[in-house]
Amino acid sequence: MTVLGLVLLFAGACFVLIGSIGVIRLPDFYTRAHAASKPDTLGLVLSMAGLAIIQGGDLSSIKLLLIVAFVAIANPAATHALGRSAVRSGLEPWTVGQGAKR
Amino acid sequence: MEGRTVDYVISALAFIIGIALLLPFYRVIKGPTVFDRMVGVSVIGTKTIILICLTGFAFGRIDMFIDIAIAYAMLNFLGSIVIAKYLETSPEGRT
Amino acid sequence: MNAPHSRAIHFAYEILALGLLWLGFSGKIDPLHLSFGVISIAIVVAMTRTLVVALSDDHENAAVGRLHLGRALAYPYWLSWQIMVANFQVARMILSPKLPINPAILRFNSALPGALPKVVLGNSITLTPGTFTLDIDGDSFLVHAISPQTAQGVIDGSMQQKVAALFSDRLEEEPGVELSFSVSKPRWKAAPWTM
Repeated sequence: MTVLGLVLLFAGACFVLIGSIGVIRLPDFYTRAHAASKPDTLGLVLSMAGLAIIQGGDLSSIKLLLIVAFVAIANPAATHALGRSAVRSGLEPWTVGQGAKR
Repeated sequence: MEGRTVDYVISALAFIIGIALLLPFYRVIKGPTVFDRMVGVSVIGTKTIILICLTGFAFGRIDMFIDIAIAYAMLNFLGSIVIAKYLETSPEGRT
Repeated sequence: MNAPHSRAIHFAYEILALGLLWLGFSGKIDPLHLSFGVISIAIVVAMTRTLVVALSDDHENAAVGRLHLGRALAYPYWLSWQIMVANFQVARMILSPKLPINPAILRFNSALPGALPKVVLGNSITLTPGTFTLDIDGDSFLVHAISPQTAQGVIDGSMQQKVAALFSDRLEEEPGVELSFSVSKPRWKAAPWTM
């Protein structure tokens, strides 16, 4: 069981790292928000699930699952709020024609 | 698996996540618009939640650290929402 | 629907959810901690009173009552699978040195009943293949897609139909997705992707 939990934790850490790299590499706010919402949320969910498995079914693992449920709903909502305010303030998205902009 | 090995693996993972936490600071400092900075901040917040839980596991006090992590998750979410709302109404909030 | 009756049910749900949350967080069931819990729940219910009344008076929210239980239980599994696929696609995109992205803005109308189905659809779009909800204004959705291959679920409308099937038997008609590369000067084109 501990090995399974550590494998999940490792996968979560990898996704979290990919999310960070994406936030640095991608060209504009909208694409960066993709990197901030998807790999990051999955990384956190996998990590918390792995910790919950290592912890082994006591009250702490229930709380870890509560964090998972909260973040899985809250993270997309926060990204959506940022994206909406970006659209309403008229931030233009990057398109392929525009070349690299870091 | 032996407890000591688990501790080593957890420390290595915490190191990876620590690197992943430092990288977005580039975006927070550099990012051309304020939205880029906010994306960086929310990414850093997510990683901090994981790091708090791992710290609690390493110290054997995960029950206490999880409560901190929950409070941190809620503050992170509320911070993003509040600043997004503010930027939506502020005319010069572009940089 | 009888308004006071519906309000009582909403408050009962709220108190039940808060009580379960309290038990999960505290884990102690001696009288002292239980009384703390009762006091906190009373404070939270008093503070959110206006919100719950507004929700129970909003008749669009009756959609919750018509939720298909079987489909609602199957949906998270389908969504988790989609999330895994989405993440591997986005991860490959981020890690490949040439950065093969081709972002565009999609706009479509959706006749989903009420606020909750829209929230479900918006969050699902954000979490699944290469798409991310920018704005929901009434029935019109604004979606940013990172590349054409990953946005198929939204363009052909299978995502919208999946969510619509959760809340009613009637299937949603074709969404009529429009495409643009700019936010402020919309030059909308019809899907599929032309570039």
